[in-house]
Amino acid sequence: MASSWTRRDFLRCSTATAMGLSTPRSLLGLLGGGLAAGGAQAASGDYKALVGLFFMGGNDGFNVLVPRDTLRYATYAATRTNLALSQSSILPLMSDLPPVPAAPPLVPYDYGLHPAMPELKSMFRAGRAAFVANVGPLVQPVTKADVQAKRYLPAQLYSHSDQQEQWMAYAANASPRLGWGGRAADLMASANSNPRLSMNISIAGKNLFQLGSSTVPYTLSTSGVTKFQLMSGNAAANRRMSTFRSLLTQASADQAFEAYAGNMTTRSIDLGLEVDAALTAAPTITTVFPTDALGSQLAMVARTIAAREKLGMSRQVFYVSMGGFDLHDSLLEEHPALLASISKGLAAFDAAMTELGLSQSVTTFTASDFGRTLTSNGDGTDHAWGNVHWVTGGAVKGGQVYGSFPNQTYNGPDDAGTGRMIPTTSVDQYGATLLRWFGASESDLDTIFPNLNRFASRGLGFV
Amino acid sequence: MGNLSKAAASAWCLVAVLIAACGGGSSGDEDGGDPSPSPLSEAQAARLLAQGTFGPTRAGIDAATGRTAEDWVQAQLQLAPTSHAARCRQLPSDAGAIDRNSRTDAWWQISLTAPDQLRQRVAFALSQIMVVSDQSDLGNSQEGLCQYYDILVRNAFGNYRTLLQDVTLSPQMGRYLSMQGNSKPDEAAGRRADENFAREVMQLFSLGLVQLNNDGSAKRDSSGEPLPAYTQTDTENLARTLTGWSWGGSSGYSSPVNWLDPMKAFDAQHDTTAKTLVGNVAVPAGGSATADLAIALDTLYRHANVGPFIGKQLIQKLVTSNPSPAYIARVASAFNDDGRGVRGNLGAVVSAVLLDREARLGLEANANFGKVREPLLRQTHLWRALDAVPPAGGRYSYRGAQSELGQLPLASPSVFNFFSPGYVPEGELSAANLVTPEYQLTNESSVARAANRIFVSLYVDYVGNSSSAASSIKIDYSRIGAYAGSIDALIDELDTVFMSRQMPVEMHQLIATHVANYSADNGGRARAQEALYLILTSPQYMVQQ
Repeated sequence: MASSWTRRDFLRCSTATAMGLSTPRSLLGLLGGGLAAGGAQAASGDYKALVGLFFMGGNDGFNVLVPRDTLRYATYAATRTNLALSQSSILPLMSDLPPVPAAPPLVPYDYGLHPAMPELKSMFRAGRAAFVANVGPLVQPVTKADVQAKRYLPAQLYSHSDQQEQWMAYAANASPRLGWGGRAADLMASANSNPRLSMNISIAGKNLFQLGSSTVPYTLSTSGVTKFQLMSGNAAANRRMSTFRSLLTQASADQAFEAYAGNMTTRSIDLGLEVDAALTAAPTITTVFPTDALGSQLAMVARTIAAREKLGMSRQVFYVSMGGFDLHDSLLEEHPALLASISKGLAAFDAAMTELGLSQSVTTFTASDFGRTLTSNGDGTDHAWGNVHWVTGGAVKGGQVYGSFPNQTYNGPDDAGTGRMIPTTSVDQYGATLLRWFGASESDLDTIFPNLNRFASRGLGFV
Repeated sequence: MGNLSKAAASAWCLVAVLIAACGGGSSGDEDGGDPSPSPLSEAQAARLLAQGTFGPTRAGIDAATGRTAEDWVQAQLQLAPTSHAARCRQLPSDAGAIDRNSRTDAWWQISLTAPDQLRQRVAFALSQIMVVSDQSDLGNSQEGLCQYYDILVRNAFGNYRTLLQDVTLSPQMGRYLSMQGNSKPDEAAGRRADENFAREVMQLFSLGLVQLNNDGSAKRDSSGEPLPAYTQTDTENLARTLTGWSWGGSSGYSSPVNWLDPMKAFDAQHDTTAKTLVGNVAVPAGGSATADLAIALDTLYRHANVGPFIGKQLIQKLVTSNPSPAYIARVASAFNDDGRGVRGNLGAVVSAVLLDREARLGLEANANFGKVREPLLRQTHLWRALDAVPPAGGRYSYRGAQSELGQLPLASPSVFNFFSPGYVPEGELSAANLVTPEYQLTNESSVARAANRIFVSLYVDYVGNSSSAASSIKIDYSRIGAYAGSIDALIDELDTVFMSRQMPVEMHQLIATHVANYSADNGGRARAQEALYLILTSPQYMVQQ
């Protein structure tokens, strides 16, 4: 990487600034050219996959992406107190120059990354990762005055279970509860030639994100398909299977409780054989994945993508998840290992997609219950709202920070109270950007995100 | 009960609902909580034991048949608690440590064999409401977790107020939800009180998210939105009220870690300013950590939400996932007043849960009656009903539950347990707005894993099989196999102990046809295995009604 500010660096930073509140109008003229040059190449074949990484418990994203320019860093440090990462420890993202002792817009926006994430830094520098600042569930844009008046707010702010649902659901306060990944699959199901297998595959069990009105996610374990022992291989086993299937048929015609298990078990048997055969026949991936919980899930996603042709899939949505982020205690001690796992896992996954020739075709994105208080409760942080997220993959217009990075001043204009950042980008806008790339039409997006038109822009253009 | 009789029960219930609707909506109390006490039939005894134990056994069914349900519950309420910590300490590792195997081996032994089955079953339910987990640094002291479980066992029939305090001050909960070491705010240093326990004790252990009527329905504002039970300010103030607690015994505020003694007050770290709690309860300035804790816990204990919130969850864990509002109200009323003016008597609540007419009549009282059996309880049921014996040395050493069943006591991924009481699965159940919490664990992968665990339990780990590992818990086919001379008699016996005689006739016939391919040789083992495998992997068994 260049050791001095280049025109390209400057363009990257100014693009980020374009999403901010205090954009010098003159920079906007430069923006168009910068984006056009970074446009995505054609995908390999017609295959696209979205991979959602859900960090359960509320990841402290404001200790992932940290302002590096000196004045904004000082604000961050003043609000975070004993939980602030040192300015010298964060990995410089925008350039390797020393921090500039001023604040944007007088100087370019500068950011640093948590020191446990060097792989993510490399992806960012290579234009294969971008950050999106201050995303959270919103039913419409809100101001600090709205928050203080308790109006226009999503229900049960700061509750884990509710804000997880709001991140996953297609509209923050909607009922019935369906996910935006599921609604997308409902509308795009015809893209896939195989009607038996769901577009949506989970490596982390049940989740709302992938559930649609006609879409039910299919669950794989990290080792692939779990097959029924004792159900095939000889005459006795075949007879047993035949009786078992008759029992399932009876159950499926019975009360709804039993029918559900009957249908689930039938699907497990039928799809298990088909998916297992496809996974077995798929090319072997040589990229080595970390063997931790996230790495093994991402490895399984990669194996499934490698089997896409046999499976008859041209659009897929994957769900993986990771726990341990609810760090009310020991944030500085426990956060680094979690972030290191993410950084290594994402880098391996990106390399595997390149190995499969799908570098431009697969985009991963992060999600989490909520951001955390910028203020400290001693040695950890509490539940908050807006958060920093990131997207990776060859199609990502990387090397940039999108959205509007909040003013981190304690009790400042973006603070709902005690360092809870009021989101300036809605989950709807974040999701719509991803699904537009995935192939959803504008009218699909209005169906999937009924509140989308309430926001100033229908997307952020990061992919 | 076959399909036909289930359908008839549903039709009967529909008529009953229509009559009630035409009558202008009865509160349900006129039906009374308890049906007139009458001796339990064998099938009724099996149903009661499925709800109130870790699985009916033949001996248990015989002992309960002919008694009333009330008799059985009353007798269970009197039994002395079996201690997990005591058993845990008798099961050290080869290196002498109390490790995770000590804890889980003790849990399997007690759950499978202890006489105080109802108490243990309620404690297990409580362990999924007041959740701590060894998927955290709590795993550093499995002995401490055994003691935590004993809090739940000890208070299962005691008073909720005592339970809440014992849980609150346990070092396990203290550490898990970070009330331990929660210091008074320091504005100069920019430090606030830690909101973790304050929020979750209200959301999960006492009030729930929204204000409730006694029947568990949400109170709503004029535009129909549910009214939140508490505000962010209430959470912040409770967090400040609960400052000043840390390691107990002779430990200091920060060290050494003490996993075995209840937390103790350190008043120098307590916020003594005035606070206002949920419901506008005042905590005056100048109070000690202990005095403020008492006000805080009394406030939660007295809140009108606790009866319906905790009562409904106990119904869901023991009896049925979608109880009628009237059933919830009857249980909540037992919480509010046990009949002798005592609030929070959990023994009275458990009695109300099990003796309610809806619990006893099932589908005849509620067309949506039933619950999904959770994975751990299917495994305990299998071993209890099939006379399982421990390996030589007596340790019930089954260590595969987390990977094979997806569930292990005190080992959930977060304080939100393995599954949520409000989980609604997709499809027909969603359309009917029926919750089935346990189905949150059920997916294409888990059903196959569960079936494969049943395969091992039935076809590998039985007494007399030389290829079963020496360390395995083994079932004993000698009693069940004796029925196998008559296929119908065999299936009827399995129907009784596993399905409370509710097996549909078509299911019985299918299994009988299949089993007829096997001889009754070898003590009837092959016939028993085939019938059991089909029953225990079936959706019909998965649903407890």
